[in-house]
Amino acid sequence: MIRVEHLVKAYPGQAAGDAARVLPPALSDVSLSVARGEFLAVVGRSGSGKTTLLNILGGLDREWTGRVEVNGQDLARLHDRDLSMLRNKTIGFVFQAFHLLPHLTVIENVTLPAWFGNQDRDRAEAEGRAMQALDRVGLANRATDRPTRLSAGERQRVAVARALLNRPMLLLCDEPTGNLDAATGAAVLDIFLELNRRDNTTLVIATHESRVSEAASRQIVLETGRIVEA
Amino acid sequence: MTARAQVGLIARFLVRSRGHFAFALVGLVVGSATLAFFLALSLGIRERVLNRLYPVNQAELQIETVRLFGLGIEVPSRLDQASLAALRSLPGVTGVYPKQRSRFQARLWGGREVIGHEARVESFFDGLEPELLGNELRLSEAEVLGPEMGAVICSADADCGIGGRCNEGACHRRVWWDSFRDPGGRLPCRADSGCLPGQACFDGQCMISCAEPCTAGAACIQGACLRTCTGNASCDPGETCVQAAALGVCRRLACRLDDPRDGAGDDPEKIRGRLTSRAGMPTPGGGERCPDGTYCATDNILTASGACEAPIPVLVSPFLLEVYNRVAATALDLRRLSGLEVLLGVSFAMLYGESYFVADAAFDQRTIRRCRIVGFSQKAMDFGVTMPLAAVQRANAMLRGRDAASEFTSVVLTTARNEQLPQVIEDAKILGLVPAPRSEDARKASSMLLVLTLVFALVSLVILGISAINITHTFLMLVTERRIEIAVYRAVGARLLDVRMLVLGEAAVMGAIGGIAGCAGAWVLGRLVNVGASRVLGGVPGMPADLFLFSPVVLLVGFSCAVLFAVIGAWVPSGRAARTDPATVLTQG
Repeated sequence: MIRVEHLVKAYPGQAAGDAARVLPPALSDVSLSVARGEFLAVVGRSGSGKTTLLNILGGLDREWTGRVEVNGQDLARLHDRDLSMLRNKTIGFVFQAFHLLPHLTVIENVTLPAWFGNQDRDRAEAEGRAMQALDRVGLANRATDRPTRLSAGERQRVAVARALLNRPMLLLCDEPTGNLDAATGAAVLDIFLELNRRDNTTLVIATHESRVSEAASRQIVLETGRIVEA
Repeated sequence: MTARAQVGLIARFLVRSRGHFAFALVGLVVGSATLAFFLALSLGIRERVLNRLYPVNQAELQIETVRLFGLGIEVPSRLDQASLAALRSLPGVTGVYPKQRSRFQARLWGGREVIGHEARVESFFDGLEPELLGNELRLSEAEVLGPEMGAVICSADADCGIGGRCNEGACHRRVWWDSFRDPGGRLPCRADSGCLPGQACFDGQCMISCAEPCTAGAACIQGACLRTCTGNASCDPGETCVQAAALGVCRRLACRLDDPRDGAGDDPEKIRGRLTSRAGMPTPGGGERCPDGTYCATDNILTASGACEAPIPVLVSPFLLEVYNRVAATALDLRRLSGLEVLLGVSFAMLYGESYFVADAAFDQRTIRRCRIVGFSQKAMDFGVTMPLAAVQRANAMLRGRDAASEFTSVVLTTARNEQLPQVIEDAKILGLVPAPRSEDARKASSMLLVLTLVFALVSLVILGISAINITHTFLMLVTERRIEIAVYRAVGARLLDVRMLVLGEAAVMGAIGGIAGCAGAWVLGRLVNVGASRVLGGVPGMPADLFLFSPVVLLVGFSCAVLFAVIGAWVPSGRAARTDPATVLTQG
């Protein structure tokens, strides 16, 4: 599902591969592969490069060197149009800060990927899928509410439902339980595990919580941009 | 991204940020309103004032006069058929329409039915080619009488009121403008020199000689070319179709008044006289009168014999009505005329060769002709009436001979393209022709109007440009406010183009709202100006009721400029929105 070879990412002020500099690259010579249906936990301290890696895998960050393939497609060679389609159809994102749009209702937030994927020609069908996704995360009864009226746990479940709308093969989650209490975090984790088991969805979750990483089928540890344990 | 999704998101954007947009809209509304207002004003004045005088591709030329001790003296040259042929050969010239003034004294009387008294005034008239005026007459008639076909359903003419007629189930009003054409007429003569060029005097009447081959539709009968016919309908009013040399030819009906003085009266029966026989004509029986719509036009005021003719159709200038209402009606306590429409169909008599000022033609040359007002034109004489050219030529030939009838006073030229006109005017100087004062004034006013329009259009564009800068600032601020939202769109599959089109679409909708509001505002302002102008300048001759012409093109320009400048203003912000780095924004918030 994912193949990464010699990935190097340097932000402005950092030098790619130059270890002598004071500021090391965000990612240095990272290589890994993730099979279809695998649940990979990426762990490490803050600033270790977890989020950067997820952004690159999701095609949100295009400034890097090396080789990254997702579902057989070389991200470096993809035109913006194809990369956008990949994000729309193949990849789902769940962020630590949820990033729901407050001026849209819950169901509109969940339907958002359909608006950009030329799938809203049949609005009823898209809303039907959105209701299924909400039902799956237990929030079908909140479809017409605004996100501002939901609790943090509920918002994250809506974010998960949004990521699931187009039934992606790959779910990239950046600290999905970071802003949740233990019980709510556990409930969200259960949703991920069910997705992984029932739909064979590939999960890559960046986390520093041990209960999440322990639930994964495999984990890698990042430290100053390098994989130190796989 | 589908159009429906885009429209939905744009609508949400606009509603959420309506406060910002309302502020940015002000410039667009003012700019497009200014542009539409001045374009409509300029077009209105050009169309309703200047073009009524002379359209931009027309100019009236006359013989050059030189000023000598305060007197205008014509340089020795003639404007005749040879000059007209030379003008026709100039590059770019598509039409040459000569004008001829009456070259003798005349006076007229009539109008009792509209002003309550019989008016008796000195008469001045000129003639021009009906082809020059056709469309203008139709438009000016439609302005005062409405469309030719009304919405009234009918089964007979009686259902359509006075003058109306029922055609295919709908009422049609009386149409006047197509009556402005030469009705034909007899030109009595004593010698060939009293006839028009190309004609000869046959038995006291001018006719086209067969010395040259007759034109199509005419046949040579006893040395004269006569129009062939298949029935009375193919002849002029007052003519009849008779058999001559196995052909049907049009011959004018001869008639005789009971008393020569009847010709000056207003009894509709007496002025029709009675038909008489003439060589080559059928002998009428039972004292039959000239046909409906014609009268017995005698050769001079001393004789009772003549021929049936239709009244000469004439045009009057709208200016004349204003002068009458403001000067004559006030000073003489006469009935004021409500509008031009009351003059349509009014008949009057004109006595050629007699004047209130000076003695003119001999009594046996003086003759009475009847006229009927059939339209209005800015090209008509301000103080007088305008006839079809051929009618004036006949009159001049009758009173002043062939030379007077063959020389023209001025000529109106039309060109295929507006820009060809200055060169044509320059070329015509070689022939001793210069623009007539009225035409030159119209050209100068047109040029001045163009300059003013360009200045105000420039001012409008500056306002729109400033509003575009305002829009740039507003959208830059909004794009910064919405960076997370834009990043989320990118994360869920929005393309760079989708983001850009969302911002530009938002600007376009804002521009469209501004454009519609601006054009509507300009229209309302135009109505207010019209009301104000009619109160202040209501009595000015030639002042149109509506100074503005809000044509579809004007509205489209006002609307399009608002949209265009809004999109230009949002161009840079849309680029910045598209360049939003989702990774940075979604990670760092």
